Amino acid sequence: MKVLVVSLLRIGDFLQIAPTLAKMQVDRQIELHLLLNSGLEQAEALFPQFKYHFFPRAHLQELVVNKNISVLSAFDFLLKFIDKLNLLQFDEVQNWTHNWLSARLIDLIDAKKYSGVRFRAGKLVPISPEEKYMSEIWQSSATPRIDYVDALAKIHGVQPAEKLPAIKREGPIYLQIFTSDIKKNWPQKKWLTLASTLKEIKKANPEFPDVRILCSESEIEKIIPDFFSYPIDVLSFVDLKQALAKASLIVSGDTSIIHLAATSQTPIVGLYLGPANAKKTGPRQKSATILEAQVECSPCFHSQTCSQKRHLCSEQLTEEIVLEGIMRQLEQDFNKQYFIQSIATPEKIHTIYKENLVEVNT
Amino acid sequence: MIKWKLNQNGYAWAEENERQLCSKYEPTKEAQLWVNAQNFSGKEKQICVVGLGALYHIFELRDRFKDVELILISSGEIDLFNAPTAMQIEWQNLLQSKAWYFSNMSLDRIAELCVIQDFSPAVVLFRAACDFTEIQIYEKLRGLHKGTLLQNNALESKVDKANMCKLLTGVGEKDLINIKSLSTQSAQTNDNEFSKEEKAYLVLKELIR
Repeated sequence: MKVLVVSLLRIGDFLQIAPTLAKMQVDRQIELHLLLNSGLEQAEALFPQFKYHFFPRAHLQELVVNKNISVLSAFDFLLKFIDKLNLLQFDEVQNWTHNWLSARLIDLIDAKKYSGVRFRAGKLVPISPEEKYMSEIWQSSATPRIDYVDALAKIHGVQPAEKLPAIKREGPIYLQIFTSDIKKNWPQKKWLTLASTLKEIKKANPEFPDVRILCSESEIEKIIPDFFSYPIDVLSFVDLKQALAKASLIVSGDTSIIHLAATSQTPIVGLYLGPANAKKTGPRQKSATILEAQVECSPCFHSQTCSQKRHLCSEQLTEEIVLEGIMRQLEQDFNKQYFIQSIATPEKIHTIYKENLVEVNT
Repeated sequence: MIKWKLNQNGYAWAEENERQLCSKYEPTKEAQLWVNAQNFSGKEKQICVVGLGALYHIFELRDRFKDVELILISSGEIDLFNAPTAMQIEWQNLLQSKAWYFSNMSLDRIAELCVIQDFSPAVVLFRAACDFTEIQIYEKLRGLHKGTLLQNNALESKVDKANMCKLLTGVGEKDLINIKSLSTQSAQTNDNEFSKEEKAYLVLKELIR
């Protein structure tokens, strides 16, 4: 049985759903094809068990908007791409993207069975209660009952992959400084203070892990002036997965790296700021430590400008709190799940453990 | 009638008969990109813009070329009755600067006016939201060939099934305009099953939302 899963989002979204797709493939004994955006070709090496197709999104956009190129070329290119896809004769098509583009695209793909939001014959197929819930909850800042992956799994009637615990390892601590959205970034100066403190701890205690900085090629110029005295790694996803498989910890904002770390069972400290909402897209790991700011405007929306004069959420998340999270994560029993949230008084932090609020001293 | 709406970021955007007159999400960015794409040399004394959209590109043009005389042409009169007050004021200020505005004029009258006034402006079209008449005006002002009428007819009826096929099979490629100026109105009211081309069109439309 051939099933096509359409996921036209970013690599981080794919990394979140990949373990559940792998489980579905095994449970249902199916040939699983994925339609991802072009630019995500590295996914092939990360999850070689799937068959991949890449939607030429950027190229089509260029064909459509460039005033010197006929619009007909976009039609021609898209229809040839679809014809090739339809030659594979899928039994089932599932939309794991939840946007209009994929819903429209699925209208062009032939199959016997469909699931997820979609158009048929140009009309929107009535959506299920699960899809309605997901649409409503994802367009608001409300806290969902279930996370992104669980919600998608429910829509498609599959079992989500179990959240795995982290595995204690001896390798370095990786600090991923930037995210894709300035609203989700923790200030670079705070990262530097944190890195210096960790370096000092290492000096006093040689067994403490080394600190390494992670960034992409485009970020390196911004990183070097502050972090020239630290080893900086610019890695492909495949190399990164190998590096994370040996790491003792990854500290990162809401990035694709954090989801990759979850698949590698690397201990995680996540700094969820701005629109990052751990209840929706937190790393799927039993023992992850997630640090969020308790400010009224948080979490905000991805598509909106920060509503505050100052970036209140990153201001509230101090270096001390992050250090506390790191130490706790390095020392903790890995079968527990912590949610540590900073509150207005920086002297204290609150630990939410299995939904119970427990006040602890810092 | 033009309907003015506010998006999540507080930008006003407008639509007329379900045809978007500017970007729903980032109208100012769209205006900046449009002005950039025109490749003006900076030596122009007059610029003629056909198609006013929701005015953002006109305001952007005025900001960037303060001394240039603007000749603004739209097929129908721009309806600012429900527009945000700031936009109405900016429009009034613009009209009091070096700007001429023509609407509801026949093609011949506009061409005649151009001859009488003896201006030879750089003529540009706001493709993102122009209508059929505006394409004709633009072509007339540019002195383009009348043979483009077939394409224009196809474009005016947009994704009406028969015309869509004609558009895809029988029409020369070079004269087709940006997909954003097509309207889905007829497609959305069509009860019959959509053709593959229509579905593809709707996918492409999503790519530039």
